[in-house]
Parts: sequence; C-alpha cells; structure tokens
Amino acid sequence: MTTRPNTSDEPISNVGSDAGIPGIPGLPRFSRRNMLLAASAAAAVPGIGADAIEPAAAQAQRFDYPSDREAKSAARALALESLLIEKGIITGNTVNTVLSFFETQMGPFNGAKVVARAWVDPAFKQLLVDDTPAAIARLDLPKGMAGAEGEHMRAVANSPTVHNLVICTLCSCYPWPVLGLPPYWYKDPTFRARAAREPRAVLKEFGLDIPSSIEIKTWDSSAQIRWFVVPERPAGTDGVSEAELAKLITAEGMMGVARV
Amino acid sequence: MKLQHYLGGLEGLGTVTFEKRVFVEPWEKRIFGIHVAMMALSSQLPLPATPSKFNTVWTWADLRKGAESLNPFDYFKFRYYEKWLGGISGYFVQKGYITEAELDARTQQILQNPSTAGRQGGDAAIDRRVVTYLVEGDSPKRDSATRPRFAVGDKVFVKNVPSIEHTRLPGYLRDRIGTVDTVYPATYTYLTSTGPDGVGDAMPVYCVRFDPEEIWKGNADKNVAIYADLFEAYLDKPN
Repeated sequence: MTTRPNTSDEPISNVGSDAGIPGIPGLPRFSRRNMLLAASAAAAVPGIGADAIEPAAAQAQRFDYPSDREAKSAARALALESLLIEKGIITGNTVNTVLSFFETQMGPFNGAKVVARAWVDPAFKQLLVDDTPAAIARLDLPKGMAGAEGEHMRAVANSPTVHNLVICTLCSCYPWPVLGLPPYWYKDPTFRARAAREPRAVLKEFGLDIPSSIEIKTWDSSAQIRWFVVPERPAGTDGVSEAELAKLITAEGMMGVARV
Repeated sequence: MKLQHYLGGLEGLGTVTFEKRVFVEPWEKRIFGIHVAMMALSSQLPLPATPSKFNTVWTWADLRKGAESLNPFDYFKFRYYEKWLGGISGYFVQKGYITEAELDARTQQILQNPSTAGRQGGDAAIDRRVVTYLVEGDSPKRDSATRPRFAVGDKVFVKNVPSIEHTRLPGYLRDRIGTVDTVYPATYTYLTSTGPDGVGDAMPVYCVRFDPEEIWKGNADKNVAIYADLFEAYLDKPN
C-alpha cells in the first residue's frame, strides 16, 4: 500500500475540527468599509462595489491585520443568526439541522462506499463511469444521493496511464452527496489558479508525484456536472473486505490530490 | 474584466496551503448553515410553503455574483467564508429583512456578552423544508426539443462573451479551440440569467477538451488534458 501524504490520521469527516488555523495566511481586517463593500457587491449596486475608486487612506489600510478579526466575524455570524431566528426567517434549530445532515447523511463516507464497491466489482465500476447516478442508486446509501449539489454527478476512474484531478476555477463546485463539503485547499484561489496550468507541480507539492508518462486529466466544474475520482485500488489489498477498503478512502483521494 | 473570472492559469501565487478542514473557525459553520437555509427557502423552489418570513430568491448565483464583484484584492484577502458572511449579511440588509444598525448593535452585544447570542424557537416546518431541499436538490435539467449544435469530436471555438456581472465561462478558455468530448443529454438552465453573457435559459451543455499547451504555450505542464463543462451559448464553430 502506498503512503498517503498528510492524510493517514484523518477520520472520514466532512466538517473537520475547530482546533487552530495552521497555514491560513494573515488575519486581515474585516472592517465596516469592507463589509459594506461586500454588501454592495452582493446587492450588485453599481458604482459602489469593485468599480469604486478607493480612497488613499483605505488603500493604505488594505493589508492591515488586526487581532480581533475572528472575534468580530464570529460575533457578526452569531448576531445574524440570532436576528434571523427572531424575525422568523429560520428557527433556532435550522443551522444545527444543516450541520447534522452533513455529519451523518452527506459526506465522504458515502463516496468511500461507492469507490470500495467499484474496487471489488468491475461491472459496478464500469457502470459508475458510464452512468454514475444509476450506479450510485444501486447502493444502500442515505436518501439524497441525487440531492443538493449532486443532481448530476460524473465519476472518472484513475488507471495505470491516467490520473484525474477535479477543480473548479470559478468557485467551489463539489459533489456534496458523495463527498460532503469542500475542504479549504479546494476553495483556495491559489489552488484553483495553479491546478489549471500546472497540475503536476501542484500535486507534487501535495506529496503526490505523478510521473510525466501518466496523462493528467483535469476536470473544471463549470456547469451542472459535479465530478469525483475513482482512485486506483492500493496494491496489497487482496482479500481485504469492502467495508475495510472503504476506510482507506479519503476525500482527497476522490478529488485526485492524494493516492489511497 | 473581473480577475475572479480569470483565475485559471494566473501566475506568481506561490505554494498552495493543503488545509484539509472544511471549516477553520466555528463561526464559519453558522454562516454555511444560514446559506443552505436561504437556498432551501428561496421562493422559486417548488417546495411546500412554510411560515418562514423569507420570501425572496437566493441561489448560488447570488452568492457567486457577490464574490465576483468584490474588489479583487479583497477577494484574495478574505477567507472563503468571510466572503460569504459579507455577501449574505449584505443581502439581508439590502432586502430589508434586517437593518445594518440592528446587525451592528447585536454584534457589539455579543462581543461584550457572548451568552446573549442564543435564540430558540420557530416552526419545525421550516427545518423540514431545509432537509427536503438537501435530499431532493434542484436539478437544472429540462426536457427540450432543442437539438445540440455540436457532436462528439467537433472542434468548437469558445466565444469571448461580455460577462459584465456573472459568468460560468472560465476566462482562460475564451477565444480558444477545444474538442467536444461529451454532449450531455437534454438541456440545462442556469440559476439566473447572466444577461449578455448568455446563460440562464435551458440549452445544451458540452464537456469540451482543451490542450493546455495551446492555452499557455510553452508554459504548461506536459501530457495534460483539461476538460470543462460549457453551455452552448459560449460556443461557436471555428472559422
């Protein structure tokens, strides 16, 4: 079995832990001005958003990193949620209901079962690539496997000659039913920018060395399809049960940035 | 031109942070949950009415428009869910559900005394609709008599459409020639009309293959094929 870089201790979870923020660069100011900027952007108010000329003083503060950034964002998010509950837009249980759904119903634990079945059943693997929804519908998975962000999914299979990589250069399209929610690396503008032009270099930085003899197919999710990868079954797993195989499979493996 | 439409291929960005967590701060979960609720309660969905006071449209297109219209420096500066927090709170203010003053006051109150944040109650039918949306989704697929203009193997030219506000056409593919790899069955709508950009109504969608060496001559990884799903409005016959 090959080594999985940086993923071996990770449980298959799609919400992650809350401890620390290693590697997240900078703590920029989330000022009232920026808030208004974002607000006007969302409302598409002409002349106030990105096209407005920035005063010099604001430009000078652009890269300030005050220490209360997270505390302010946290309070703002909680303030918004409490106001929405008060005004009858959502309930006191809505946000927790959503989070619980992604912890138990929609997550990489589903994709892992799909891939494990493909590893033990070649006919299923062929169907998975040819007609992804039909294949997934055959498995005993939670309701919603054609639900939000999974209405049109396509699986692509790695082989000894082809390695697949899924990206979304415009936003963060991700197959929720089988993979849950996208991790930060996938949403990172740097990843999205570089993976299009130099996927081999990016994968190498992630600890996955794909030799130049292997073709890389990069899938940019720009319309209705949500892509995922069927990684190759690791060597030395003959006789390992389907359930045990599923435990080896990570979200990173199913996006094409890690070997299983 | 919006830089956010042209991220693919942008150079000089350095190493990618291989951060595998979905949320890096607890508050990010709250804004994500609010966004899902808004999508589920959005007024255009054919789901049973609930007592929720939310009566406007909120889709991915609204969230994406907000991010695409940010000052590009802010786009790179703010973490993913910080952009969501700005865009979503701005929407609730702009639509009159809350006022900026209310939000500021409640934020200050919570900063001073975090235990004042919690609120309970509400009609369970609202949460049931949220779960129904997650389970059923919102497919853009539409049956249509429209026949696709292109077939598998055809060369297609990607137009450089005027994407004033919002687009689903990655910038690096504009003015390039690709080869149709898949013609998806039926036709597909987009969440909103993108105006002169050209998508919104149901139309055929193709998976198109491109050679990175033709996009970034002499400056792309070798032995790579790049595939993108493109609405027919973005494609033309090559000259």
